[in-house]
Amino acid sequence: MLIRLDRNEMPRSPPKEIIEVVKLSLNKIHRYTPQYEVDILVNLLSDYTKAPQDSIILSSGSDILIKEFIYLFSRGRQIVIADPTFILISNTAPKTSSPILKVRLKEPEFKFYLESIIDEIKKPTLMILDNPNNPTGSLILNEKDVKMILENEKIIFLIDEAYFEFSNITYSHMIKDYPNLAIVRTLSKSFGLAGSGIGYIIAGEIIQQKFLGLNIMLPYPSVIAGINALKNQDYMLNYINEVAQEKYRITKYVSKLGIIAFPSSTNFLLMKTNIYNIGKKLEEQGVFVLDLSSQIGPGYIRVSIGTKAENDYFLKTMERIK
Amino acid sequence: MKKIGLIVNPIAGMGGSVGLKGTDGNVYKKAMKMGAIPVIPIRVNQLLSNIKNKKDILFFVAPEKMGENYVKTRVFKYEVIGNIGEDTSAEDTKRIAKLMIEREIDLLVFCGGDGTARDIFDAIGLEKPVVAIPSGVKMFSSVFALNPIAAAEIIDKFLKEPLETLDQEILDINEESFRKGVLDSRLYGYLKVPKVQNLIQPGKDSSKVGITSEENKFEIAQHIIKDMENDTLYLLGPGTTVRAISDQLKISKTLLGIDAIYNNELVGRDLNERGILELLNKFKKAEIILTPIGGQGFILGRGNKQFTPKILKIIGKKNIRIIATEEKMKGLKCLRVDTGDIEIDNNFKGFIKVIIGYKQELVMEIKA
Repeated sequence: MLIRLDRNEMPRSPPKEIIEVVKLSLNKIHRYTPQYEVDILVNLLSDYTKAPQDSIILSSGSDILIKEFIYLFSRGRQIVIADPTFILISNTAPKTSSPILKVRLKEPEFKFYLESIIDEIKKPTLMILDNPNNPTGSLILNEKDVKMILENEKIIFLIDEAYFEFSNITYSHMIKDYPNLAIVRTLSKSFGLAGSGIGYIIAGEIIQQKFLGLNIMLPYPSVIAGINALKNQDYMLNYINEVAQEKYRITKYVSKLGIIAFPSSTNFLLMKTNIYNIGKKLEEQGVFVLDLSSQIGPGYIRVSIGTKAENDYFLKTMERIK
Repeated sequence: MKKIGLIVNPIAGMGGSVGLKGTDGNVYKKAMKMGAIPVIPIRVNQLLSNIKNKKDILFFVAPEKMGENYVKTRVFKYEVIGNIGEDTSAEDTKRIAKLMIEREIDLLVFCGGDGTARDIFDAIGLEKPVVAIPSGVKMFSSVFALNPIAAAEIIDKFLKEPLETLDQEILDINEESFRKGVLDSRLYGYLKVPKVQNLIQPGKDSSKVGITSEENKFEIAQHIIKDMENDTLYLLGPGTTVRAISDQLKISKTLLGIDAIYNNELVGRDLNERGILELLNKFKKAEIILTPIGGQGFILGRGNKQFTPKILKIIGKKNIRIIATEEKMKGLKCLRVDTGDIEIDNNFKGFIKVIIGYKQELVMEIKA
């Protein structure tokens, strides 16, 4: 048995009706993606996010958008990020020539102490924070903090809301008042389209202009998958409910084993164990989780919420290893 | 086949069960009289029985109860190194460790506590990597493996592939004070400990760009040197991270002492409070460069007591720079100060930027 609980994916495929239309789209695979289909996707995203159509920048996966964002806006600015943060962010930032300031999130609530850098961010700054944070699963921003950050005109602020649907907290509505704000999201997590790689940024005019030349063509099957996912949101909502229930069950179960599962606003749980080499031990039993020993410290793992059967297998394995 | 040295401190850990907080000096005899049970055999046997690749090791063992007795009943190939008498001492540990280095061991495994770690450091310094089996009463040093089973896993890994090492601190706790409930420690030295990176799963989330801890120290030193100003006195605290700065400036620095640099020249070596105060009188601008103690996070008050409250008052928090490798910072939840002066400790409370790479800083909380 092999269980992948290391990538925060939806553990099963989206509904049949979505798969069927994606299959049909393969008949047109010899053609470039028609612009009108892309426009439909943008319209649906606009309805879904309540953001104007022209504020939406589409790309093949949010990873590309985050990287591009860092390259576009880091010049002449320091980069401020959380520690830990989504590894793509912490790996891309040092590839620029900008100074990097990391802010340690403090256990157990993994709070972001804005006051610790309030003077620092008066300098020209590119701030990138994932909210909820990956890998801790915690919400690290509140509206007051976001406002306080954005009041500073020298800041460009990118919030990664990849797990927005699980947390139900967004600051996308603030782009109309703050042209220095951008929100990046994905259909890979709650919509279960990780293999299609559809990411989007919601941003004001200043940021949109910088992205004008990007023009990344999305694969046609991905666009079709995105359109149909946004038209059939019930399965996404069901998945979110399921995740919430399973998170509660797993947290309770592991606490009996002396393992701490931190509160999470995502589809994964950060766990603290005192088991030596826990990632490897789980892998030997066919369970893949993300070992965070090099990011947070020994004994920490990030475990995606799988199907009920997968979660049961994970829990039994933990019990055995313990 | 790898050559692995094994040294067991047969009296380590005996003071613990009878509440003696250590067996330094002749305290172990008192412990024996009080009915202390040796803890070492269980630890060593746990270690040896959990090593999987037994045939890939040629053990160089200390004689009898210092190692030989544990391997001779097992399948390991081994050679006995040196001689010991009826009563064993720190000198035996040091002498035999040196002999093992002469025999070109690849790794030294030892069982003991802080005291044994100090003896091993005296004998081999940073020459070869060590795996330390925690068996003492006091284990404040950050060189120890989690437990004997974890140590066996590290050894198995070492047999398969070259492992990167980290320089970890050995602390010298004053046992006399410790018995009276006072934690009085100083930084004694460093040992090379294999960095056991847990198996990282494939996938985009784990594609961490890694640099070795030595490269990281080099980067930090570059950052500091870039910002160094003329006509400023730089007081360099203990540790290999700080020493990387003087190494790049081609200045010979003590590993454990406080040294001073002015306009790229060494102006003070292994300074005490008086020596530092004299320099502060002479030079108007001064900065302190420090690295926290791994595992504990103390930036002041452990291992660098030469920086007394009087000196810290003169220099001020804003002129203290903290540097640390990312690896070290990962293990710390916060930084700590314990200068012995409550007012100064309170003044340090709050947040500070730690230089963790070239143009890379980490904001951390300081607690008193």
